[in-house]
Amino acid sequence: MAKKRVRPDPADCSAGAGFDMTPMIDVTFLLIIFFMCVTERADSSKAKLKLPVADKAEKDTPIPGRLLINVLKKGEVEIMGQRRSDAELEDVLELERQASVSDTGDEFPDRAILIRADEQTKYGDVQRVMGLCMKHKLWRIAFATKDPIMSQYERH
Amino acid sequence: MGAENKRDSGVDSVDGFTSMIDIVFLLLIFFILQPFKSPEKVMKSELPKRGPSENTIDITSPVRVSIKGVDDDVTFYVDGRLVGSSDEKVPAVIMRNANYSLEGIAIIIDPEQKVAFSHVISVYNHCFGLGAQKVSFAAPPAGG
Repeated sequence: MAKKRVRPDPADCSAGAGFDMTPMIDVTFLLIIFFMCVTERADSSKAKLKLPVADKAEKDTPIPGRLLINVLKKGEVEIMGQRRSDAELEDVLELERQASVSDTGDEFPDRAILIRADEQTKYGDVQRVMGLCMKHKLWRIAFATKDPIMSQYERH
Repeated sequence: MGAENKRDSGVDSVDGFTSMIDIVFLLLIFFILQPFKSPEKVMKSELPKRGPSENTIDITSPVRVSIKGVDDDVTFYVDGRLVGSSDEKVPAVIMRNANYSLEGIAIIIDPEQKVAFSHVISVYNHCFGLGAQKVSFAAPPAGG
């Protein structure tokens, strides 16, 4: 018996072929992972430095608006990707001082300045930054460090 | 007819697994990459609240760790006594000088200006490891 050719119903066609969401979800996930990694690396506030290693350091929980000071290998100070002289740094620290004190005159306890210095930076250059922080009555600081495991991974 | 139905259902289940495996792999990649996202850690410190030329801490007998040298060519001293060119023995000497109890004892880290910052952080890290409550940096020289 000859087979009767049946013209497919357009409604059935859409249901049968179906729109497969799987590859789209795959690609979306991969893009999310890609951009998460890229944005972390492209953070302009963090200069490319080889941070000193410390295994007893705490996990960093950044608060919005935290001042981040990069001290480069040769002692230059960089904030938000821009080199700053000591006079400019003092202006920034003065603004930070104003921002770190509430209307009642109390200091915000969690607002520590993050100093990121290269492991080969001379201590005197870091000390100079610390001295300027003290001059502007900014007592709370934190040093950025790297986990030893991560450090080994980078060396290989 | 019955056989066809069986075969069809088998194909469907394989298709279902494919997408599930895809998502499982993606989640695996995500969680493997997660630790690499923010590898930076922090060591908090509080700067002395006095002027730069004055003493740093109200403690009668702090343990002072000095680091002398240039860049990575350094020697470590605890209370003026030579420890060596490596900081490995520094924690033991600190504990000995503090009579094996850091209760109420402050540690002052006093590096020379040209010492590489990694050595300063290394000593600071050792002090954290000892559970020292008061670790401070020597005040910068007046006018410096």
